[in-house]
Amino acid sequence: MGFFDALQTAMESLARNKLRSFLTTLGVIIGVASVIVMVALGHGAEEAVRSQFRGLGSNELTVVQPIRVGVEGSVRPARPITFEEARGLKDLPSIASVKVSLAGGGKVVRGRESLDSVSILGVPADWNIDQDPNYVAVGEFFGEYDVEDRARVAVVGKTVAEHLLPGENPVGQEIRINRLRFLVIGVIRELGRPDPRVDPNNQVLIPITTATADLFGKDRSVSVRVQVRNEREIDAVTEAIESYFREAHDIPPDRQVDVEVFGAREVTRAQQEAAATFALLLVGMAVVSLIVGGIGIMNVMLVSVTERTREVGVRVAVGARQRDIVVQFLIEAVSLSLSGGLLGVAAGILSIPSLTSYKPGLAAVLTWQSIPQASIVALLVGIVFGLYPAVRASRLDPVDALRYE
Amino acid sequence: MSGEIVEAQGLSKLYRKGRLDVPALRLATLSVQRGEFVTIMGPSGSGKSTLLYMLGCLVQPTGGVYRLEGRDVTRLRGDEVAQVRCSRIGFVFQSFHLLPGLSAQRNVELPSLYKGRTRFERRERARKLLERVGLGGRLGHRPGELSGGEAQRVAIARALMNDPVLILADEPTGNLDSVTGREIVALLRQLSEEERAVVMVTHDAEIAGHWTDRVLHMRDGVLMEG
Ligand SMILES: Nc1ncnc2c1ncn2[C@@H]1O[C@H](COP(=O)(O)OP(=O)(O)OP(=O)(O)O)[C@@H](O)[C@H]1O
Ligand SMILES: [Mg+2]
Repeated sequence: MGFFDALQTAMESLARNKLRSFLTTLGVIIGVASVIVMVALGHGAEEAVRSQFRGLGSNELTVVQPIRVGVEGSVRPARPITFEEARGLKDLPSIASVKVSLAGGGKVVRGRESLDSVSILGVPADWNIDQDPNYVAVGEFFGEYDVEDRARVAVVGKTVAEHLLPGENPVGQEIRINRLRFLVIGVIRELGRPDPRVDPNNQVLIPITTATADLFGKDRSVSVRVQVRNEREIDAVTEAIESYFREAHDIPPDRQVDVEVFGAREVTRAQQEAAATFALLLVGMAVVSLIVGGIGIMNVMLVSVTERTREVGVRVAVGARQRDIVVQFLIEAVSLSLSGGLLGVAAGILSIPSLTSYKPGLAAVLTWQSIPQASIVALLVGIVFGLYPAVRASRLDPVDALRYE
Repeated sequence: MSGEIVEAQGLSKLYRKGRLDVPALRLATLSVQRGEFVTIMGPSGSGKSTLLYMLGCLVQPTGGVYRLEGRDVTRLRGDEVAQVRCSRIGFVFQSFHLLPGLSAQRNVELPSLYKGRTRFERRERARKLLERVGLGGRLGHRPGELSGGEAQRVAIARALMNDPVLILADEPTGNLDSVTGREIVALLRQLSEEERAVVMVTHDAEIAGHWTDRVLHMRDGVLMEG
């Protein structure tokens, strides 16, 4: 029997049991759809991490506070990295510069207007030194004395200025950040938007000491980026930073220091490890769901073979070879799994926008490769799980099959 | 063209049931000529269907030789047997065995799916055959929409699709009233006169006596002439 005749036969037989065919493919649909969604979310998460550490140059290090899980399972925060400690790193040898900040979110209010989830960044006075001479468009940046005094002053981004202080000179106005009053002393020029999901102008800069003491609490570590003079000194500087904090935090020599120093190398490695774990999880999920889907298909094909015993007998009597019978039932199984795969891809793609809008923090990145991948896997599922019923049909004794009621 | 279509010698079939060997057919010898219409009669369970299916290469004999058009078909491989069934043999069954999901025309086309003709050729030939058996107006009907006589005519058209030399009919009138049954037998008679051989199993002595050239009797797996 020619391929197109076999395909037509399979399609007609599936169309005769529409609901059953659909329910059978549902397993594959759900399996493939969830894999598509998970792959997209995985790519999204990877992308988010990458953008977070983007700009971490090859001669840069960052110091972070690991969350230690104690023996009894409790989360034990280590002693936080303070602004003063971080600033002290400057005096270590081979360090070119240290950039300290403390980021958080907050609600910014002026009069009856308000902006939710503004990025609040506590920074030292030399935050933008030697980078961009036009960084402050209106007014001025805060100075060393503001940082020392924990002054309630703020330099606002363009978006914040336009929303809360439209049509007036923002400098000298008062805003409230998380209910605390701040005096606006400057406006940052409009910043470019490399990532459309993030608005860099929706931010407020305040003295880092104010941020620690008044806004975010003293138990939070500041984030630190250390510029090493020479790339070859990275390992030496890493060790120096660790022993600096060992001393600052009074860690006895027999215990691990409570900070971690990351370079681009470590970030890449951590990222790769996370990606590998995720991929393993994904493969496990895919395998389980496709086995479940495949068993569903096998089950329905076995039922179908039994129901059509007489048909098989008739086909053999009029000249079908065993191979023709195998191909006929195999095409039927593959049609089921393949259409399940394609519907699953469609369902996955369609569900991603609603998922990310439901939880805006989720980032999903679709890759076109997942479509042929899913199709090939679905095809294989159809062949693997359709083979046994098909072979069984072809082995039926034609005379028994013709007598079958 | 004349000559022997069926040439069988000492055909036997043993079915093994547990430790018991059940002989369904014992040393059957027969020959059928081109243009002949032969009937097999006998009580239920005597082995008529077994013999018929053996002549149609659906049952392998456990002993004996069977030549179809002079060719020994007992030692062929599966695909070769299928090939023989496909192009040399046409079956007609008591309960029609039409595929319920297909139209009359598509049912008639079925054997040609395994012979590889173009779609157009298939359709044309199926239409002509249905016209020939008097069902030119029923091409699109499903088996469920046909009377018993009509269904059996469709089945006969199907048996003719690949132009076989041997038509095997297992109680083709068994599910029909006597008038319709006679019409079907008349049709089979016509086919036998067109350079084919027809072998039919029936329980109806009158049909066997009136319409066919030769009647064979079977009892307990033994085939007897006359
Ligand atoms: N597949 C099989 N396995 C075992 N025994 C079988 C098988 N097929 C047929 N038989 C036995 O072979 C014998 C002949 O059966 P067969 O069907 O040829 O009889 P029949 O003459 O056609 O009867 P009926 O007139 O009822 O159709 C019976 O005893 C039957 O039980
Ligand atoms: Mg019988």
